[in-house]
Amino acid sequence: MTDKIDVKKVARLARLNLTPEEEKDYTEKFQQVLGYVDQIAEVVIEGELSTKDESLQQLYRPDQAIDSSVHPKDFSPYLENQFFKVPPIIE
Amino acid sequence: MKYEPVIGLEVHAQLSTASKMFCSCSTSFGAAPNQHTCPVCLGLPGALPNVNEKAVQYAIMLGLATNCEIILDSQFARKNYFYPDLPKAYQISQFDRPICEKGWIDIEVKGKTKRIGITRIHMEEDAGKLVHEGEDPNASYVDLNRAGTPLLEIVSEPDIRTSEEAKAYMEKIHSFVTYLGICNGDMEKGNLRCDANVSIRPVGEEKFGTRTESKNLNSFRNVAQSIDAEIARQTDVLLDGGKIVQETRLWDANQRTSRSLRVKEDSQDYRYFPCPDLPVVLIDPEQVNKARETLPELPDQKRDRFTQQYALSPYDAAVLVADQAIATYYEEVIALGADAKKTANWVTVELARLLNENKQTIRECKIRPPNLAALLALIADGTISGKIAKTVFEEAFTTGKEPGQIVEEKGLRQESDQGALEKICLEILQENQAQVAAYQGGKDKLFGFFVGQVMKKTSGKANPKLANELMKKLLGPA
Repeated sequence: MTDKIDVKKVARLARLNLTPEEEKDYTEKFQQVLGYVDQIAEVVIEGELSTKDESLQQLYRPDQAIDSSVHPKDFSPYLENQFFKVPPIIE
Repeated sequence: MKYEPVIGLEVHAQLSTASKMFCSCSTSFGAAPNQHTCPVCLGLPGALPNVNEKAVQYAIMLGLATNCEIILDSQFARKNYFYPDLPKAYQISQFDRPICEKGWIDIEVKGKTKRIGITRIHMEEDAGKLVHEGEDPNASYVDLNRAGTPLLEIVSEPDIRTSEEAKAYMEKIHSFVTYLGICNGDMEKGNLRCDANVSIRPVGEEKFGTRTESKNLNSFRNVAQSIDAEIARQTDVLLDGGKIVQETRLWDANQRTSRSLRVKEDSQDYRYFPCPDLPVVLIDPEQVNKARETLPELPDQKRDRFTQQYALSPYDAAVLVADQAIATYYEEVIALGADAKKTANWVTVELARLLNENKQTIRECKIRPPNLAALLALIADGTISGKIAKTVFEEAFTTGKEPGQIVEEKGLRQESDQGALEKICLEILQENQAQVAAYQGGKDKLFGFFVGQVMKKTSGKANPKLANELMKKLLGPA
């Protein structure tokens, strides 16, 4: 029931360049993961399945600005002039 | 073939909360890069989001104002995509259960009212900011101060057909969020921004054409101009036998053109799924009722009240209420006893022109309501003419001086003394005997010339009505 996964497309969405070997490798691995999903889909359940758990109560936070005690400058090695430095992004 | 545009707008409003959507970091603008960050908005492992109560309240308020159904058990979802301004590699948004659905607002274009459907309003968090001009040309720089700032995304139905309607819709949303006080509405700073989905189809066709999404529309004018440009571009492509590609386009306001940014990802590419870190957003119906009762007067209600209470035209009333600060200013002038219709004219014409020319907001304006009321009183009691009042108004706008003081200092008081004016009129007749003869010989169009001479001789200070009467009496029939 599962369609064959388009690894090239997934790689593009993830902005990854895959070698042909990697493509083949990931295709197999993804198919395995989808196989588990097929297995779950085979389970027969009674009644409706909900994706939400209403037993958990949302705890709201009052709108108050509180400065964090942890800052990137205390732990990140990737800062330059307090900015995170990343590979160039040119659209 | 004739084509018809189909337009839908997605408006993002940055909420004016003190703290972020899911953590207590400040949302204030202008801090050092990454100063307002914490493990939650940095997306560090193990950090858990915690919903800002006020952001939910604000969403309910906008939903009620735009006639939406409030969903009492909405849900947060993860929208997955990879970009360095998004530290978690997903944005917490809402997908199949947004907080508000199925609303509408009315817009007015060319004196006609049109209803535009609101598909949904959902809560989400903003991304960070990317800077490309750093020390290293082969790097980009990320500031996550904005990451996690609460946003409301307002999605319209594809009910809009012209750029004019799109602009009117955007202006309406702007007035709603500012009236509600949930967003400061500053479009230049990106606090209210708009993406336009545009497609065209042959007139009479039911099916929609392929749409493009134009981003980066940060003014009402940009919204209108980009839509017109996109309609023209798509028409050209189709007339040339081409096909429209579904893509995101970036509007360049200076060049007045757009360019392709990227081929658009489909909704399924975002792999939305319910955010396991956040339980369902349960809202007590009582909270919704309370919010409904405490909604402030909204632009449409204020417009209707203005037309009734002050006998204004719907157009004047709509112009006045578009900006809440202007509407308040107007009512403050009226409260000081000024005539409603005359005040509306001064505010919508002279004041609007000067504010626009000087790029000022009404709050920065030096003519405060008592000053304008005083000026109108000077016209009403005949101290100055309407024409001189414009000079006084401009002076007051620049200097902030009291109108009465300007009139005294510059000697602008209107000449309404009958004897003095009559003397001047007689002098003019004496000096222009040829014209008098011509007038009396039947050239009645010369009448304006004589009154003009009176105004000239008095530097515009003669009471125009009195000057007219006197001249008519002195010249006799034409």
